[in-house]
Amino acid sequence: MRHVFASIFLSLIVIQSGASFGQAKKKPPASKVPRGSGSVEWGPVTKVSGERRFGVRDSAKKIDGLIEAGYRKNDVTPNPNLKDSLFCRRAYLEIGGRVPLLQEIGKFVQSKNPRKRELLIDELLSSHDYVSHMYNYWADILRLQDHPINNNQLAQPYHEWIKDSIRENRPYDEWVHEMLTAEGRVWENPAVGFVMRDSNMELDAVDNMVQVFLGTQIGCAQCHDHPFDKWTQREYYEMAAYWFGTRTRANARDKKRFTKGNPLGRLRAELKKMDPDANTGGTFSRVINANLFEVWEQRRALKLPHDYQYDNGKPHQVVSMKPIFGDADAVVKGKSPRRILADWMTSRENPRFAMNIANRMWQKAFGIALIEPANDIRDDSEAMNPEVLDFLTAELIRLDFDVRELQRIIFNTRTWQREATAKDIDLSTPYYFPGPALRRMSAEQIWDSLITLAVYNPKSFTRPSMDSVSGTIDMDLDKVSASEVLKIADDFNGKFSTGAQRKTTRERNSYKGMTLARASELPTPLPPDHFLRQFGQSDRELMETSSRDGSVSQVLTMFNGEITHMMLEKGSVIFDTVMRAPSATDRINGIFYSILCRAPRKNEADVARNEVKSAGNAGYGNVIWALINTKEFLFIQ
Amino acid sequence: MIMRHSHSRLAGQSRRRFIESIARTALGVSVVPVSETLFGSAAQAAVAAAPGNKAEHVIYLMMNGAMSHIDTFDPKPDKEEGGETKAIQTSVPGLKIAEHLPTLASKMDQLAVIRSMTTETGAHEQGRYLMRTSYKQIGTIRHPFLGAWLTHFEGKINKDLPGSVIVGGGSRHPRQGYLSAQVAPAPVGNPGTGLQNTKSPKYLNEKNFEKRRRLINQFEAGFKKKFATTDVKAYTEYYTEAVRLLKSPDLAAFDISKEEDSVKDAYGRNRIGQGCLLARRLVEQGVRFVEVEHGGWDNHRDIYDSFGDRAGQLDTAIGALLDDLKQRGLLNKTLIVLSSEFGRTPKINANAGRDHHPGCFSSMLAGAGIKGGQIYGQTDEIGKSIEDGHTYPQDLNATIAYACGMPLEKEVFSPNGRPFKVAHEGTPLKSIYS
Repeated sequence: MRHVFASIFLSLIVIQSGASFGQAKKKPPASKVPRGSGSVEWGPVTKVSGERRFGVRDSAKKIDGLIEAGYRKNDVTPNPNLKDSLFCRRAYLEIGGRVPLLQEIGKFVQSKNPRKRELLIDELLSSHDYVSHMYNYWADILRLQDHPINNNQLAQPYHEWIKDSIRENRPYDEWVHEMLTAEGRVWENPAVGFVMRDSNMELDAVDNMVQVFLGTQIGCAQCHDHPFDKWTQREYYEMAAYWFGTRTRANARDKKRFTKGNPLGRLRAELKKMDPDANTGGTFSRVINANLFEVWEQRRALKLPHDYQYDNGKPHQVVSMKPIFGDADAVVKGKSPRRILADWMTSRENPRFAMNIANRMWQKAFGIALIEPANDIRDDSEAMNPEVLDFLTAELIRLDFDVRELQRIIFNTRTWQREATAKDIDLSTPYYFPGPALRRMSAEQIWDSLITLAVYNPKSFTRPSMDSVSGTIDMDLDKVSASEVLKIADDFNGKFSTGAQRKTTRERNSYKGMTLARASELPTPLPPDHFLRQFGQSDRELMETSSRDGSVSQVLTMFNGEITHMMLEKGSVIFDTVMRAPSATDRINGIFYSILCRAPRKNEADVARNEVKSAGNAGYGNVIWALINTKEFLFIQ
Repeated sequence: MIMRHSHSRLAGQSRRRFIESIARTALGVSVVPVSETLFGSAAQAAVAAAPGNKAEHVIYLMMNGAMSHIDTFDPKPDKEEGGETKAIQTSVPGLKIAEHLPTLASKMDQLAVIRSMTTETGAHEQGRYLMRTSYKQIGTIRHPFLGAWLTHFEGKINKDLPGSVIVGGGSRHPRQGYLSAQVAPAPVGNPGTGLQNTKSPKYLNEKNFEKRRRLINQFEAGFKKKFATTDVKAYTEYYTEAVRLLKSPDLAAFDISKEEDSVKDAYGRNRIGQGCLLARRLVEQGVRFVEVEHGGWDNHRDIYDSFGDRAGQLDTAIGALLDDLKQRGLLNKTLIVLSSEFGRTPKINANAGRDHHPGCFSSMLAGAGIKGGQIYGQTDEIGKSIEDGHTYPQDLNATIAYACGMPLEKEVFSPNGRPFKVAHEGTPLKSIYS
């Protein structure tokens, strides 16, 4: 076996170093597969700290001890340790969101460094792949859409800000606090995107944020006392009272601010005067409306609903502000209710804030949370291993909410580095984590893996940035003239509209109409017939609604979809890599490693060799196609 | 008005259904054996009243952007608000509709028009969501659209094909909502290209495909043996189903290129025309529910520049669909529904367009069990408010669900334990059935 490794990776290394058949001088063969230019700057990713490595080891060991105590207590046999090559696959997929390239597997498997797993985890956590992968994770939870409420609203600066926050590894509590308290327009202060997502839905917004950040469901209590949990409708309203004054649109009728009257009406009339046939709708009104979206606060009292039915209040009665549990600061002058809510929410004293994200990060790594369901934690919820959850929560606080460092600890546990559990996990009984659950890749993991196998330098396929949008679109609504708005509208259309973006992307990196960028660089939500949607990416309407379930249309997409066939074309990464290897055996090994991160078993190698013998070069294509269509490719073992 | 089912109604299948219906209503019991539907709950729920002529299929035409009622089914030619649109006489004495729909006017005896639709919102997405699901769009749950409900309750007719299909659906369609992925609609972006990924590349012939499938099996045998979990086995099922679909002769239902040119012309060589043609092919092969979207109705400006053309395409398409279904003996078991998320303002705005008007709008039904030649409800003299017969989206959906025999009162629980009904609290307009 060792020999097989050496042979394929050796021939590969020779090729990588450029010492091969003098191909560089020849004109490369024409290929329909687009190539990335490699000139896009993504900004540096904050590296994980080398010095903290010892602390990580200790913490990981502590967790293993707690988990293994659970095995003994409950008579559980842990799964075997994962082999290096499969560890490599899991690490790339679960930390970087994609399969490793052949040379990356080679480098890892051949390394003699006893600390190589630790080093790979660190490397991946410090990579753009991690940023992209974590962004997809949050996009599903935060329901990121390019135009959440209507086409007038822009959210892309917010999405870019989230990527930046991950890239810079900002402390989680600070990040959440900033989203909860941000003010202004999205291009001035992109963090307002969070509040904007629930524009004009103050009550739903509270339900959503409690679910995201505290893993707690109070939604039912919006309309009636919660049937299964303790929350009352009154408590819901008291909590929502903090948020009720948070507004997401400028008041166009505010005479102090808009001295010349409602800007939309004023500008439309002005345009009509200039040109009676001019279109006052379309982009003209879009850019004005986009400027009306801003987050600000107003004193506004929340009243119980007209059909309030309980004894502890009357319909239309004003409710006072009170958090759903614990204490919050009093509302005082100079400190807005929203800020008080944010302080309460992100406080170290809040028993569910750190615990929720610790629980979620465990769930993300293992496929199963310590408290299930992770978004419905109740007072009487019991963690499957309470000591582990307590420890993770304490660690996160000790680490000043460095969530990535917590992930680093989790990935370094022996527990995470075991094989996936090979049988159904019944969550009606506790799961003691003999290893992670066997999971199908997420839609984004599948897509990004295929992109990795298909195109060179996929990172250069970024979405056109909105960084400079503020210089184009920002206007003083009280001063701007209709002709200036027209110019702004033109400018915006040319540079930032969906159509303009599509054009740029299509020119740069599409194959048969498909944009070959990473999932994190595609528009959102995608149309239902897109590969990612077929495989379960959500429409980003509801929190965490992505799915890993199968369907017939997925199978059809894998059988006949463009991306599968691109893989078999000259110019794709896997095709080029494999065909450069000198012998049939090396090529077949190369295919198996590229797709499954393992060598073929003897019988598989025989089958593949026979296939190549009978079908010639097309046989390699058939082997690639077949392996991509195996469940072994789709699942993370 | 039309007595087309007078004798045949109690023949064969229908007779059995009739007797069952008597048993149900009179005795409160079902004589239907709990059948082989996909879902246990659905099997028990298949106890519902339906009109004499049950709809087995629905073709739902969704006019995206909010179609002007005043310029289609509810013209006001004598008023300024009526705009440039004239009314024309239909095949039913005394009933007039807009001049843009001449074919439908000539077939008015087959149509039931509801002029008193009303809804709660003037926002497109929210309006369409309510229309499709009977529930308001909220941030914490996704409700199923009617097509998924139909597959859920009644099962598939053709096991090889999807239960429902959406032609030209946007990215925010509620689809199966919280129901199982097994009742998910299959999306078709463009009627001309058919179901995605069902065509193999040219080089891949049958033999080669079989060989590749064998390779898959050989390469994954080890994995499947080691990880014999439900999820992995489910994928094996999907592979089997996918292959069955690819080999099914019924897959051709998605391929409108198989139609004669004259047929394609009759439907109109445009999206709605070809969409209706695709819908007919799908229904013919046993697809339960086909939604066809037809956009371009958001006429905030210069409404009369394009309205005639757009409505004309629709008119031709529905006309052809009615004839075609009838000729193939499908019209009496296929319900055709046309609706929109809301209507447009009677007042013509400064840009010579009409704005959003949730207060009233029109819908149209035809086919299975519908008593043709009738207008339900009435708006005021300018088409601004309803004078008679308020019909909410829930009521329209209840009407459709009733036509299909779906159990209107059956509560189905979402995964988070909330109870929902197919048409919410809607009441069917039973009077539009014969």
